[in-house]
Amino acid sequence: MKITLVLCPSWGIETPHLGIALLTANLRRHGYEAEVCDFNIRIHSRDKEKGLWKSEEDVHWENRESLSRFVENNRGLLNSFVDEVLATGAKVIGFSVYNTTKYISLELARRIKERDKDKIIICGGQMCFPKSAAEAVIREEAVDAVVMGEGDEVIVNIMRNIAVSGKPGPCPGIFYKDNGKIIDCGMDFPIADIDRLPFPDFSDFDLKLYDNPAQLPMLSSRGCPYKCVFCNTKLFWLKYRSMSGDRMFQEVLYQLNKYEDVHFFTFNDHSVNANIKALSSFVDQVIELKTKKGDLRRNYAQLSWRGAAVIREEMSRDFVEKLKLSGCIELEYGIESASDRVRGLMKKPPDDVRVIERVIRDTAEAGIGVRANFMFGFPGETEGDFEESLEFLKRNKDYFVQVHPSETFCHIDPNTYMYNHPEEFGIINYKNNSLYWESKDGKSAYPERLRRHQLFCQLANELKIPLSPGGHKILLHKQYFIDEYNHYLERKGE
Amino acid sequence: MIISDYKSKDVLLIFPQTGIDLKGVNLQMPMGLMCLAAVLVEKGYKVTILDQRVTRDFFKKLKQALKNRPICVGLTSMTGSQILYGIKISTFIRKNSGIPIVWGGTHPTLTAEQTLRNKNIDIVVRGEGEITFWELVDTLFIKKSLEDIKGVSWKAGEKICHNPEREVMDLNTLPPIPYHLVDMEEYVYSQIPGRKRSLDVYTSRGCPGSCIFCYNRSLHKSRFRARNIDAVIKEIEFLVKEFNLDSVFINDDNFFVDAQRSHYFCECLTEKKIVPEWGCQGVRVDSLEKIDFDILEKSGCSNLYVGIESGSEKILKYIKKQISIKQIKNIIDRFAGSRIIAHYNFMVGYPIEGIEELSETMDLVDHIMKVDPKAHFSSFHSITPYPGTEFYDIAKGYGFIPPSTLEGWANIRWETENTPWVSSRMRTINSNITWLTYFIDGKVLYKTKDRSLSMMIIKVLMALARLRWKHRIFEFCPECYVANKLINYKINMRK
Repeated sequence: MKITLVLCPSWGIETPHLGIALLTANLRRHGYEAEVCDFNIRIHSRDKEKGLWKSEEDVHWENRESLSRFVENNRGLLNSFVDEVLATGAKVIGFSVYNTTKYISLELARRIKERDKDKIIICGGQMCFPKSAAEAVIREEAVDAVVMGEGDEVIVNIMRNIAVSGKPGPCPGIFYKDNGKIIDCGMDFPIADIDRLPFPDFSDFDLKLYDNPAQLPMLSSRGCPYKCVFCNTKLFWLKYRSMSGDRMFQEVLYQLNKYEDVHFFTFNDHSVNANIKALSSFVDQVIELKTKKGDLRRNYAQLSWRGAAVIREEMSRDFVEKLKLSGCIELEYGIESASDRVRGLMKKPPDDVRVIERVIRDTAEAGIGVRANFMFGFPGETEGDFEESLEFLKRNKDYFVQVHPSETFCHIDPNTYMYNHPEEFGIINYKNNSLYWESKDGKSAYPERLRRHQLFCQLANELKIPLSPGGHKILLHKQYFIDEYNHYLERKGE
Repeated sequence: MIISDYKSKDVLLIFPQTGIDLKGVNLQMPMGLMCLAAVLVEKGYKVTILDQRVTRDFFKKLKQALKNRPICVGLTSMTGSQILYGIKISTFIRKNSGIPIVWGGTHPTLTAEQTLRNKNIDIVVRGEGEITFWELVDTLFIKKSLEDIKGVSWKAGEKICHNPEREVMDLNTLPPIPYHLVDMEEYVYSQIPGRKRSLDVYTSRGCPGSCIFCYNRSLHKSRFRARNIDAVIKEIEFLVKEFNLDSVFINDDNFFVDAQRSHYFCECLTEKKIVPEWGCQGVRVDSLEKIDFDILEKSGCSNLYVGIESGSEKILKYIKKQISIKQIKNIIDRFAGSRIIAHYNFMVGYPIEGIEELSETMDLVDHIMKVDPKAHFSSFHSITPYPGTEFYDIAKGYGFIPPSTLEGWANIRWETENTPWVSSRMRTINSNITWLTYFIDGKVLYKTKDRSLSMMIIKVLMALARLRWKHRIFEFCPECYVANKLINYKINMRK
């Protein structure tokens, strides 16, 4: 039995979609035929409006009105996509549904069903989580099943179910329709041993069409072992799991040998160094490979990588130098605040700012680019705490290749510890809008957080530290964000 | 036409081995066969009961019994490996005689057509067999056709005939059980912690519930029928005196359906001081709501086996348990405030059970352990599509293919491998949870004879199980594998 996995615009153009590559690999391992239709990159590569793929244009892809126009103007193109999907002959069609791909995906699904009602439409991805979001997607008429959470095994179970009963369910990890009735099968158990999963299969993606054809994504761990109060990663991944260093190395080697133009890997992990033992073993093997001489399948010396990392004591000078030797060119650290007290409230490691300063200095001096994330106006952050972050920026200005001030300053996502314990953080009005919450004492509200963001960005500019595009955007369009907030207040008042 | 070439007015009844039959652990008297015998004995037939589980040189004794050329041989079987032993016995009988072979019990009742496709089975008695089997024996005795006997399926040459269903009997018309037909000492064991000599008592049949996993719906049409309590009390008096019992165990489908009757039973026991302790299985939470725990305690009730099945409201609804978590928690609190030990039953492997639902079940177990530390848990079992259950039909819709032969049902793997809604990883997790729940409370301790090595192994397994339970680690469980091996070894040693 066959499944066609479809990626609609707009999605990233830097690397092919790792999730689809993982599903493809596991489906093929279990004997199912899988084919990928990467419409996102194909439209991007021939579309004149490439600007629409910039992150600040996400709003275009999320807006039903502007997308209706897009669909109207590209009617022929979308119908050709339907033709193409149907020509694959697959019984099952899977869509990766994100805020930016949702509208076109559901439009394609609707047209596919119109042409052949026996096709089974499965949706997964960011917009299918948490449960309330998945429920919204399954209510779409064209959709037969929605995968919640990690889908590697769930998609295989769905295919097996369809083979034996013609229906996608039941199996944990999905919502599905059984004779029109929506059935909630609950979340699946997290895959405990991710070493056992096959290497992602990118063979259906045209790497040349991506921004950097030499680059592939990797995921060496799922979830995060830390318990930052503002993060709801745990909700999706449930449990932190990491690959062994051997398995990470095998995957890199496999992809290098399979794609001769590839030499750069982006780790999509929350923290590539959360399991520092595995990372250490991986880099040791990479260093050995890079320095190997003799009859090799290709030149591995070019191999390089980047990822997000947590600042911890174990990131010693020797260790970061070893990372550099293994080809690490950039690490993105979540600093969030230079105030020990605020990080303590966030439950964000480390507990001493001196460790942060030492690690970013060592990282930068080892030749690894340091990117750093900051948040503003965390509940309980005083002016003094905020100034510590500004002072920190001044002291360490030479070590950053970019700073990333949070575009939401400090938002409160559902199901984070903060969201579930508002009393502890003294927060109010956080339920209807994650951006515009207030502190009970009135000291933190959206305008104040915006003010701190602006001050931080201005300082970064003065210090000539490159800002992330999001930081620039808010700095340039401050009034727009204030107007949006006032508009929200007006609506709330009504 | 099926003709019996009998030599005597004898009837032979056989209880085949079930698989893992351990004296003092799970060996219950063959009550179904004894009820059939009760009627036959009263009608003047000579009945022999051969229980393969407790009979040494079983086939030698069977051969001897066949020499008397009884009117027929009756075998009973549940779904599972007992079928395999039943088939072996039937083959042996056919090889050594032309005596009609009759099957009865839950499995043949629910799969009569398929059962009769086995060449060594001639007749199936469907449903309650007391009257049907007596009429069958009478008919075979006078060498008449079986076509007028209600509740019988039989072979007329190549054709399989299913006679109309028989109406259920009035349980109060059942003659006294002929306990003398078996060696009752074989079935006396400790059903109740701290007690040594217990026997089963049956006081009612059926349950008004409609749980999708239970065959009660098709076997008893969800109807509850009860014996007169005075008669039950007399029987308990007899059993206690005759077999020197210190406890009895009620083995009904759902004893507490009629609160007034249950209270009267307790008052009789309190007043007459017949037996120090009693326990009961098949207890529904909603039935207990109307029961006064003080009256229970005073009567000596010490252990009740309560079906909860899941800690998830969603799952309870799915299985049509017709109880809520609120009701469950109320009952848990009442047990916590009493001296009665509750043994809670849970199941896993529901088709719509994900990690949240399973966690809700585990959280409920944790809640019970916290508020009522004396409570026990039966090891979790996976929901299984047994014939006659609503879940059997639901599972077929999920792609479950029932075994196509009688032998197929004997293979234990049908219930663990032919379940397309369970992924192989979830199967491992469910199986490990089954093992771990055997060790998370203290129930194995009182079942284990005080031998230091066994006790030490069990204590280590208990510690590991509790650790795994606490951290919800179920996927890698080498000790479950080792425990499995050890228990199999122990079973083989006993054999």
